[in-house]
Amino acid sequence: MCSASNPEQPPPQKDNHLLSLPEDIVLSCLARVPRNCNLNLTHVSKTLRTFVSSPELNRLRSLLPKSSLYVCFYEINDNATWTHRWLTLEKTTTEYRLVLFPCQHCPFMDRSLAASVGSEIYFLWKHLRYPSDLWILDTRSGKLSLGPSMKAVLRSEAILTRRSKYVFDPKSKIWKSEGQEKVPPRKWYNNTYNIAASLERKIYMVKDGITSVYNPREVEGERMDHMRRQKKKKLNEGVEWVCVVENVLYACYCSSGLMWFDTKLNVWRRVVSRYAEEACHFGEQQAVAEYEGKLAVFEFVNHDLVNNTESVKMFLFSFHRAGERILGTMDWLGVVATVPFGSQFLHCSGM
Amino acid sequence: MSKKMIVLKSSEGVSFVVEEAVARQSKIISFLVEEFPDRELPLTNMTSEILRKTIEYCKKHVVEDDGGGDSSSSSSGDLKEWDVKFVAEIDQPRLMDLLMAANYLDIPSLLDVTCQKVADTIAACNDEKEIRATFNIENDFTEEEVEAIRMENQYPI
Repeated sequence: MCSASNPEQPPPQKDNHLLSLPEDIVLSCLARVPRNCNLNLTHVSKTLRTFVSSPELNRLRSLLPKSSLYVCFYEINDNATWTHRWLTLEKTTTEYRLVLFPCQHCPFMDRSLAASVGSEIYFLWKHLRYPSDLWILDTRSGKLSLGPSMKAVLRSEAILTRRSKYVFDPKSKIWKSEGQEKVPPRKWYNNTYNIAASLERKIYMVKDGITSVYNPREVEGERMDHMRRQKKKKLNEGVEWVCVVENVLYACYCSSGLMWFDTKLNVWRRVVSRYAEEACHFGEQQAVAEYEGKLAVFEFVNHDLVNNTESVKMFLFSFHRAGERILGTMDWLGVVATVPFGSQFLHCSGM
Repeated sequence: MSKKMIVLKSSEGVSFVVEEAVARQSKIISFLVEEFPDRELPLTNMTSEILRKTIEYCKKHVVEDDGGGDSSSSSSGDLKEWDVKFVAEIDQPRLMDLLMAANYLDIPSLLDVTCQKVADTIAACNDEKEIRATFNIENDFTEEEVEAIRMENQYPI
């Protein structure tokens, strides 16, 4: 009886209230908030707290398009010094190109590992070193700032797992350990050429037919899970790169080509695509990153002897699920930049 | 050749004459234009101010497709910069209205930038009090609950 006191008038929610917005809008706003604000958000109100802990928010976050892409090239000069160049991908109405991105350079750029967090790129030392500095490049301003030093004991592991085991909280600028580790560190050291990517809050590492998953959130027990290759699925071969696109892990295998990892069955499956062979070359220098929900693969082509330059070609793949399979189509391919001959890829980040 | 124009009417009854290509960035308008050609489209839940803002955004983002060879449409970098300025100039209540307009009219790119602006505003807040004040959110926690959450979020060392 007493419901809807004024049915003719739709509620004119004129107040400036975040939670008066439809639920899906609130979620898509929250998905864009950096995770380090989660703690503040959970303290705001009960409703907001429910939103922050909802699985839907996590899903939305992982699907946010990475609409910026940065590639760092280097070339070694005659006097053995290095020249670094950051380029960023620009899209015009019909094509793509890499344009110079002016920014400050991390002092140990040539010996750095890079990981992207939000709109920032973090640089860590590639090799054991004390103290191990952390430099942070803000891609919005192009400015570089020094983060805190990591304790000696943390260095190598954080580097190998690429910020998984020791989490850097961007707000407090403190490295946080995620508890005692049961896996002997040696296991990590041995895999010098681990190729790793994070997916669904776990770290996947691929090396010579073995895919290992590391779950930093498991409280106790087995965090490392080495998945031996399936008996029939022979994947004992080298991997050129791995990349996560829209929550799916892809890898370029030596002879099997472009594969994706089925996390339900823990098997690698081939991407159905007649273009994959054209774009994914084992043994060639390639750089990859997620860009707007697609996979961008870069490689060098066409040595121009007159100007002593070479071109950078980009293949842009989009993926579609068809039942149990993933189909890959080539959205775009073309030359996106011309760089001095002998240039190499150093870093490639989509964010 | 003159471009086809359509008329959009705000909640105050103010008419806006817009190029069809501009307005068609809204999936809803695109649909309505096909269903009811040559008719004014009343947008009763949008004020003139918000409608004007929305049209301003759509004008900037329209893809010139007249094959004139004049690459007048902006590059993605310029557009991004423009977007940042566009939302920076809007105050909090209007931002919410614009967000709702983008949602209602189904303009995905405008929804994107407005959601991002809300997110940036949240991220810029130093603590929960500032978030509450900025977004008019009521604190419905009891003292005990606050304490319980704090305990829960203590980081193990």
